[in-house]
Amino acid sequence: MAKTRIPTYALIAGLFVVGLISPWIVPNQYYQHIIVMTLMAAVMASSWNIIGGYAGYTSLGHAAFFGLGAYLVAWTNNHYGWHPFISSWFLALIVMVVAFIMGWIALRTQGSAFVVVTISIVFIFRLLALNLDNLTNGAQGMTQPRPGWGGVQWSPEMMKIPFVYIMLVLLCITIFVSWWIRHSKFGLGLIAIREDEGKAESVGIDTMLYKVLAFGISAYFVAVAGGIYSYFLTYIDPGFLFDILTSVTMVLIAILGGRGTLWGPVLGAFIMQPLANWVIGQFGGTQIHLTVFGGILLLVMLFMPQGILPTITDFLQRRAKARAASSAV
Amino acid sequence: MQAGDDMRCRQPAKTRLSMSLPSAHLLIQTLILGLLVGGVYALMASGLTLIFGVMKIINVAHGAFLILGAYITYELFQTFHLDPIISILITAPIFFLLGWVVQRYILSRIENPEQTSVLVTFALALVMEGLLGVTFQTNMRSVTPSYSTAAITIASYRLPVTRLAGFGAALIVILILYYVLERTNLGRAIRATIQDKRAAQLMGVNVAMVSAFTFGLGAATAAAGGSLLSMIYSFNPASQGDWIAKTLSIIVLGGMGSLPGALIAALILGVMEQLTAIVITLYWSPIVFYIFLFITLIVRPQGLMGETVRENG
Amino acid sequence: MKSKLLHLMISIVVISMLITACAPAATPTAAPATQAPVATEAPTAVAEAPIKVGASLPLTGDFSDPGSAAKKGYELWADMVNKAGGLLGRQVQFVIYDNASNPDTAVADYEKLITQDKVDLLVGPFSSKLVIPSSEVANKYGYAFPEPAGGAPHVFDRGLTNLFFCQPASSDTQGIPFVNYVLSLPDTARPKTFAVITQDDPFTLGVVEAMEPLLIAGGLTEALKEKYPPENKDFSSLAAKVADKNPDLIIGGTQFEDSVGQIKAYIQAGYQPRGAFFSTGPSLPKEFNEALGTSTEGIFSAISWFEASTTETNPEFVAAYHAMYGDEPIAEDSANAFTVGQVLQQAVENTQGLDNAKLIEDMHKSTFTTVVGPLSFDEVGRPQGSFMALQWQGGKSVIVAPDYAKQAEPIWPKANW
Repeated sequence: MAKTRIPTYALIAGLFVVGLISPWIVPNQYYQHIIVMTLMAAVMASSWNIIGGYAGYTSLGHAAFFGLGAYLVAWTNNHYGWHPFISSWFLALIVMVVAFIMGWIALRTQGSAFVVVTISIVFIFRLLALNLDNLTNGAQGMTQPRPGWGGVQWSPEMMKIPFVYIMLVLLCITIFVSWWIRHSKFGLGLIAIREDEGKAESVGIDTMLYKVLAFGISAYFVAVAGGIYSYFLTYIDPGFLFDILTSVTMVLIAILGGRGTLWGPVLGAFIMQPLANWVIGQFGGTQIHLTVFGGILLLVMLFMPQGILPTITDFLQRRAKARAASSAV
Repeated sequence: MQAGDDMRCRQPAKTRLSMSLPSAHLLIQTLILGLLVGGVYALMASGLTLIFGVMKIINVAHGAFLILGAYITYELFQTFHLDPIISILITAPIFFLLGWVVQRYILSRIENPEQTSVLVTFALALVMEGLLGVTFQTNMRSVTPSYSTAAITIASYRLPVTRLAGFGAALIVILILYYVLERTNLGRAIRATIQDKRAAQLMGVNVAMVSAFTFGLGAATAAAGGSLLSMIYSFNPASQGDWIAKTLSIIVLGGMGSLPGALIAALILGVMEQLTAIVITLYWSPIVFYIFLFITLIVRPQGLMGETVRENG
Repeated sequence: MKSKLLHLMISIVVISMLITACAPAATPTAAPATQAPVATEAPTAVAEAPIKVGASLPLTGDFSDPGSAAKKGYELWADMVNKAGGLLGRQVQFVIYDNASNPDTAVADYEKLITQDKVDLLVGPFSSKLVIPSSEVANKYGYAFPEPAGGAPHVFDRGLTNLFFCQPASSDTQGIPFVNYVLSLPDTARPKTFAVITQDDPFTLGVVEAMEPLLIAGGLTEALKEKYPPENKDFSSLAAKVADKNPDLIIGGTQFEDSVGQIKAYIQAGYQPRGAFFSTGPSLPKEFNEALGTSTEGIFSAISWFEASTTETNPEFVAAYHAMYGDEPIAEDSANAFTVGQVLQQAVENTQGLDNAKLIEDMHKSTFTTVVGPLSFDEVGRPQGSFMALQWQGGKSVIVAPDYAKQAEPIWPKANW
């Protein structure tokens, strides 16, 4: 155990440093845009992993928390001038409370039924966003002022850089929290729930409490990301923010990299997001993009349900074992 | 100037949530429309619930099957002027084979279907939506037979011919489905598998065969549903999302795996949806489905007529 | 062994970061042949690099019909400019992306056009819903943003100074010629009640909500007002509700698909109004007729341009359109997109350059010769002219108001649909 602690810190630090210099290596804004999106995807998949990976509950409802975070931030920015870089962190706490309540209801179900009920969470929030138009401006969407700080708007050439940094900070915190949970009693409880919920209960784990907590925490970072994202785009609309595809993306990324592992979702995001941008750049439109996206998900589910990281780990372990065996002889 | 300020100054006139009591005539007219549309929903949901009953998987690609069926019907109509209802005779057998193949070569490979089937079939739905978009573009389509705007008037109530025909066709397909389930050996095997998979296996039922057959049957009902959909609604590849949401809500309310439950739930939701549009506003009618879905799962997870959703099939 | 794995992970993380980082350096300008943008071909004789004009259009999805029409207008303009020797002696080349009618894709497309494709000039997408977010992007980078189809009140009340709506008037005034006509009817013929059934969209709401108070002030009673979400497909219950109130006049706030959906549902419900107005839909000459056939008779709409108009440059446009695309009737949206091209062209020629700040300045002060007539803009890009009313008569759409453009007398009440 002691062995892993230092490398985790080192990895986070390494990631941070690479992220810190990345916008200066890549002065092209389009690629800076992709870096922001990639970091955000890593945040969302890592955060989803807390309930979806550790506890094994496949939530497709997280897009609702993403959208809710985005709307709260956009609204408070427009009405009170709260800066999204600060307000995102606090407003996401409200989203977390909402997620506690939603989780308390949804987590009574299991398996497929849980997936279905979480899907309906997204649809309900989407309809609310469409219908409560004196708050959300309905289907017309909401715009925010151009990004800036203290009344000074960031110049177009530099605009993406603050977003790279704040997403980077968010990602490092998310990974740290995820790591901390994994090595805590709480995390062990979650994994016990994933392995056998009945047994977990019988050894005295308050499974409902654990699950609801995990659900809420995993909603928190997704909501922060949503808040920052709404400022990044300066335009949001219900159909786009409360999109079930956003949830599926988180799931795909986490599964691709390795569901339930610490770094799997990050790895998955670094593969998927640039790939998605490349596909869109090459073929344009959304149709081929959908096909490729669905195709990857299908292939991963059928042939590599473990994900990349565990597959590599397995392979290395087997090799190490074989080597140990041969050296023993 | 904050952008939010000008956002507020344009408040559209509020008509939301202003409950206006409709006249008795309008109420009955709406009830009729709701029942007609509910019949078509019932057909669409029947395959989904059957598949869950036998295999314990939720086929999220069901909506994509519906839309594919609608597109084939559209093409048959444009090319050969084939009536959408007649074209069921062509689409249903094709889809039966398609469903068989999908189950045999994709779905039967999944381990732990209860956990992962949703994601796998979701992926399938995305692939299908994408391919449909590439093939047919995403423009809205609808099939317009000569009677597409006709309606029959009975005692001052208007019954649109397309919906009436859709209801009738749905009824016939459901009756055929019932006949297959109740009167044939295969049907008995299917019902035995739904009740207890292991016991059925011990009794000599070839579960793999039954599964493929059921999935084929489910796809065939989707084809029929798609053909009817094509003349009642306009559709594009992205519509599959709306339809899967509706049909899922129906089978959850009815009790997953229960065919009679799905039929009753479809009628209830069809009527509720139309009533909401009349009494409150059209804007809220889609939410009826999700509200029912949510409440069912909390209050009565087994639905109207089903057993409790089991953790392991 | 665990540390080995971690080393591997470190390298993966670093490598993938570097891949992301190095990609642009490796291929800074290469544009693969398979790339999505549809570029109009430029003759090889010109030595200087072409002027790149960027647009994101809804070529698929809900707005695909008008979006595709706009594309024809843009490409026709580029073709005519290039055949006449280009702009400032350089060829014009379009980079067009399909945003599938999604505002977020439109935003991403304009970001990409500016930062990746480095286009010289921008032109707008179709409809207010997409114009609102994408004009913010253009504004962020200081680009002039003439656009063919985003004239809702909210487009202007954000106070952007780089946006120019290239139709004769803002959308909220579209229905006014029709309202004037209705109110001019003699008492016996004038409708007593009306219903407003509208899509929840900035454009459609802008049109119908400007008509409402005028009709009410003219003595009509609003029997019903309903909004429906853009993705609504089932109009049967709504039609039953309208039929139940049976208003004399129906005002539909529609794009294309929903105008057809509404009318079909009204026919099924047995509702026969004395007059009908739909904001967009009847203005599409080909598609509307194909979808509804004889049911189109007597339906009113608003339009910014018509084919037979003799305004300066319009006959040339019409001739060139038919030479390029055949005999089909020209959609208004093609003409509006062409207008955008004309405005851009004249501003570039006035300023003799591609400096967007100067273009913006010029667009605010100059008057432009376009197929919809002379155009000038106020400080937020609102055009200063007026719309016309059209009506379907005998399977064709004709201009029935105002008097100076009239092709036929309006027919009232309308025939059964």
